[in-house]
Amino acid sequence: MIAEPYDFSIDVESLENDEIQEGGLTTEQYIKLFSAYLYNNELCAAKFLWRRVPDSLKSNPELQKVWSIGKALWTKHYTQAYELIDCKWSDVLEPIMVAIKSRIQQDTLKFISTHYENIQLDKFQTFMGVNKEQAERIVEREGWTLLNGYVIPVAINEPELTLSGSQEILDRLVTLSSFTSYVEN
Amino acid sequence: MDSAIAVPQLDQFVLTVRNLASDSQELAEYLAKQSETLHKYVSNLDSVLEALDIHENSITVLTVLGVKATAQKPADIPGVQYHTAIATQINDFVTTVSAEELRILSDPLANVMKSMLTNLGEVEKPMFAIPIIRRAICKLQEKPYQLTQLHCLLCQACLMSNNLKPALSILDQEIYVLGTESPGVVFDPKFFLSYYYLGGVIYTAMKNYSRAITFFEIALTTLLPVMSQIMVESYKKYVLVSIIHLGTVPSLPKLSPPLIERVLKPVCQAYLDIIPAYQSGDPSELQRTITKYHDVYQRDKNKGLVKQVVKALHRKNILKLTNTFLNMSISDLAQRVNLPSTAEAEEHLIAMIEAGEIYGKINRKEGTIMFNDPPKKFDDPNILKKILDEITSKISFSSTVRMMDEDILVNPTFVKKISSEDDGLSIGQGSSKSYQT
Repeated sequence: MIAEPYDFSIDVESLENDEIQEGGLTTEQYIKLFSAYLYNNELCAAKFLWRRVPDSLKSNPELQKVWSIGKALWTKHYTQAYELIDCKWSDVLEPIMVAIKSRIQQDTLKFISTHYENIQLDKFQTFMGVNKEQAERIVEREGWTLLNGYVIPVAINEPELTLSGSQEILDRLVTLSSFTSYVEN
Repeated sequence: MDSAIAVPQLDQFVLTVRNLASDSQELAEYLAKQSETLHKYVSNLDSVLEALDIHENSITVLTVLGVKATAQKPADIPGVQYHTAIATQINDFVTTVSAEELRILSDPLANVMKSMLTNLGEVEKPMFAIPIIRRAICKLQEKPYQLTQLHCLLCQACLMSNNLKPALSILDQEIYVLGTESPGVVFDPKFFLSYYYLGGVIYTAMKNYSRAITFFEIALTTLLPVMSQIMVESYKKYVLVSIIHLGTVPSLPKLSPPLIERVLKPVCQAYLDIIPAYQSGDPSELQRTITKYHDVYQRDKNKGLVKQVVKALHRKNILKLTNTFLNMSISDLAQRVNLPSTAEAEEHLIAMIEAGEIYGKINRKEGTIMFNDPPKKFDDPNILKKILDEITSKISFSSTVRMMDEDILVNPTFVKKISSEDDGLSIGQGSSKSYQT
């Protein structure tokens, strides 16, 4: 269900530069840049982007739709955001929207796992923007438990980085100790 | 287009500046006198620009560009086309002229660019100015930690075009040197104040509150003989952002108290009153103060920030509860902090957990939240990296300071001043004594 991460990094920078150099972008480019901001969770940047989009382009229905998603995310109305994302998109935008959705879902899943002791299944569905079957599948996949209509999550831990064994860490420690000895002497 | 100069006065002008090119003093006087003539024949100035060599007559070219940027726009050319054309000419100037010459011209350049930005703003193309200003800043700087006269213009251009990201890379760089590195050159404090105020505004808009507070504080605590309006505005925003981000307003470092009493208090009453109202912890009390000064906040365009202060109060009250309770029901919590519904309380809790302000686990079945201590992990490689980065930046800062100190020590003006003067200024006294021995 969760799609491959979509690489926006090249997109954003060149679009931002183009905008400054050319003094503006085409509607398609604005939509792309806006979606990229949503994907990267740069909501402030998205808000200001909408403010500077020329009025003549603001009537474009797809641009309006991405802006509504941005607004929903800004006000943390995730249900609404999911509903908006689930619309029909053009072929270019479809994969981007899938990527945005899965990014939000992953973030939400992680949040629920660490900050909820238990949560109603229907609430979980709303948070994740999925139907009952999908929700049950996620619960199963994550190895969580479903008990009397409540989801009991298991905290997802960041992959532990161990201190030993990594050359980079060792180098850093050596630098740190040389700083210390310099200061002390 | 006919490149020959049609107006004899301008012909004379070009000849004279070419002859005076080597004598900068006389040239400056001549240019000042010719301003009227240039304004009179503003539509013919392109031919003058064509006749002049940017490398040899840089001051003249910049003066002519300045006249073009400030003069009335001819009625028969559309504004957008006219002003972007001038901006392109200014851009060509910045690209072509050598960095050394540009540094000498930094003050007049700032004026020309300011007019350019105003014009572009009027035709709703302020974004056009961003790359030009950025290019000029790069060329003016010898070191990245230098503040130029154009920094504040870049901030302004970014704010005008609602495009704040291009300013961030410049703002993130700490400033250690004002203007040129050679001591003795006066850097106009207005560039400094505007830069820190506008930078603070940009950081506030991007929700980087801790940087914003630092910027407002720098603008606010600048030692000047008089209080500037920028400082007053900085103080207002400083108060609000500090409340939102820190939950309290830190006392200002060593700003002479009489100055605050005399100047800030009477004009910032609305902002001084909000502090005790917030600290009382009572939302209705805060609301009363806000209603009372509603017009002031509106006029100062600080309404959005004031709204966030209200939210911050709820967060503060919740935070207080986490110190007392380990486990509490969310409906009880909503009641204690005067929130209308459990749902809203949960929204606040989620937002606070997301922001890392509190640590807790919500139990939906029992409708409770359990507060935990923050997970402290210091054996994390990221922490190690952070410490090292911090140390490295401090080391490079300290060597910068040492370098600047040495520069001052060997500066002839400084040496002359401390040897001729026994009782120096109150600030310099201690250090000048130690230098003498």
